[in-house]
Amino acid sequence: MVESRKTLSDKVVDFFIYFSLTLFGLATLFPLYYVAVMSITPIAEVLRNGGFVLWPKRVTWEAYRFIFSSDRIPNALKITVIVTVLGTFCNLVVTTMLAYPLSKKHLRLRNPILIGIVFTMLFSGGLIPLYLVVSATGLLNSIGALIVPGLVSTFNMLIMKTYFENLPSEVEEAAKVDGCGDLLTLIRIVLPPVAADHGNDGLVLRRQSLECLLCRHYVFDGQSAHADSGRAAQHDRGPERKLRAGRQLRRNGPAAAGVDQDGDRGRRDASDPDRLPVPAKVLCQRHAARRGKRVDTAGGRR
Amino acid sequence: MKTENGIAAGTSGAKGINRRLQPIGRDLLRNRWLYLMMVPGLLYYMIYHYVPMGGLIIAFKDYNMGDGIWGSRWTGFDNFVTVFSSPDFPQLLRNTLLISVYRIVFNMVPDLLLALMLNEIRAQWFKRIVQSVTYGPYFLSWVIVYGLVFSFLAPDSGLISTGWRELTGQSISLLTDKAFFRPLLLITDFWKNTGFGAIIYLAALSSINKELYEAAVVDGAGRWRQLWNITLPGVRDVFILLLILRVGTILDAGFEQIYIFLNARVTEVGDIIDTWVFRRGLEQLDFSVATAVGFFKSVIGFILVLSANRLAKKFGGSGIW
Repeated sequence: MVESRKTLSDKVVDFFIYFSLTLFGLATLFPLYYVAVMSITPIAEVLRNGGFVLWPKRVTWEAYRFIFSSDRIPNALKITVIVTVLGTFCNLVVTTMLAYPLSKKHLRLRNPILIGIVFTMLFSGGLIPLYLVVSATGLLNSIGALIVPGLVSTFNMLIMKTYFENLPSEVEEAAKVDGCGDLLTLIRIVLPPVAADHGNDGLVLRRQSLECLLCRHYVFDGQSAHADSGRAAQHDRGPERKLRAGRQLRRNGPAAAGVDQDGDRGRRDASDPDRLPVPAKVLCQRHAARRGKRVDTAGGRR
Repeated sequence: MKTENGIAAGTSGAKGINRRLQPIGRDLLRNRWLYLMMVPGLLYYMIYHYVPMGGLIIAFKDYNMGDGIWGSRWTGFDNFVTVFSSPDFPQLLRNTLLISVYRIVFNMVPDLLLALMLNEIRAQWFKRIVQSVTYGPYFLSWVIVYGLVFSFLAPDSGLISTGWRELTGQSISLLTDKAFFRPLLLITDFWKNTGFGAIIYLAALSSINKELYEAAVVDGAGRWRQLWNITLPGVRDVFILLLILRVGTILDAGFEQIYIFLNARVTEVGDIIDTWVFRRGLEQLDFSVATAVGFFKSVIGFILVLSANRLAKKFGGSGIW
């Protein structure tokens, strides 16, 4: 909004806005702060103050020592990190590789594919069939169960596609005239400024994988730190015991052998995106060495 | 040259088909790298979205693991009858709808409000701090949030519970309080997601042409006038888009959060369709009945999105497509 002379009512409104935003910010921080303080305050002091401690008089690391005394939490933490890092990486790679071609309006199959993808936002098979597919592709009890079923978020993909569409097309065309292939154009020309501008998108995708992580734990019987801390917190509903029983049943079922073969195929498909960019990168470096100057000036247009 | 003319004129039917088919082949060849790039993503959609849709047929079967999907017995609509005649069902539906509608009202509007307020802030440093702080909790999982809630509301050690006991001498147990369960869902959802929800509106707000405001100031429009005539129309489309998507998932109501927050005392007001499906399907291994409910949900959601989109277009909005 454009600065005009401030009247009294403007000032009142401004004050109200700053005040409520500050309040909201503090209200957001307080629970996190409170829990952090509680975790380092000796229990006696907590009890003495009726649970309300704003600043501990004495600090104890007892709780953390307890957590790290068994390898359960560290192990869960390790899995969380692996899933998050790997998940974000796969997520970004596959989403980008889908969004970039779909941003090209001259592709004949663009619209049918887009409709097919948007349709999955509107209609889904639901929890149980998805569970069956995940188990049939051999992902149960593997880290893959936490990554693969949420590989692409349609919403993020659409946002990314719109972003690509709005990029000026001249630089890409210039790259093409210079003999840059589609993949090369994407990696050398389109992505660097996007990455610089939109590290945030990566953040969004990363947290998506964090979120699906938890959900998948309950649904697909994987393992994660969140779930572990949740269980440690206080409730054990025992779905897992039952799931385990179900798994046993499935293992012993006559269909087990066939399912396993399918599973291997599924896993190979899923790891494809990881391998794809590697030769492309090498190619790109070679290409850049040859035409380095030109590509770099193009890349630095922002 | 000749064929070129034929293409331009689009003469006979046979040629018409030819004209449409041929370029697709050529298009595939010319853009093979673009198409190849899409392969992993498309495989993902095929396997984890379309194959499960095919799996919906077990809603019409008596699925058991030994026989597999194809070998199981057909039962027609028996599973649906089981669901709809179950005594839980009306209550599940009511809980789901109520929680969803509450979420739309009490969580979508604050998102927009926060964005509008942030948009009014001139001091960039303040804006940046508030934004970072408020969208932080979005990155926490619901389990962690429940941990926080527990440390505040746990009957014997929680901050609020002990504070209440000190003040009034009575004990209070909000986690198992039926009247408080839905507000608790909304409050935590508000705390966790509002900051992030505002980002999408802020993006829309930043794309509004600044000249519009300048022109408005020249025309003597005050702050409220600018808000009403420029800012709000600028976010209208985004709001409607999100609303349509929200309406389409009205039978979802947030499985993850509710599954974690739910306990036996509050099942009556908190048990939603998804938690029921989860219990029935994955805990009791009654896959067919659970799938039937999932199918019902998907169909209703699909119809709702289509009609919401229709309505949005009818009232002059742009809708999703």
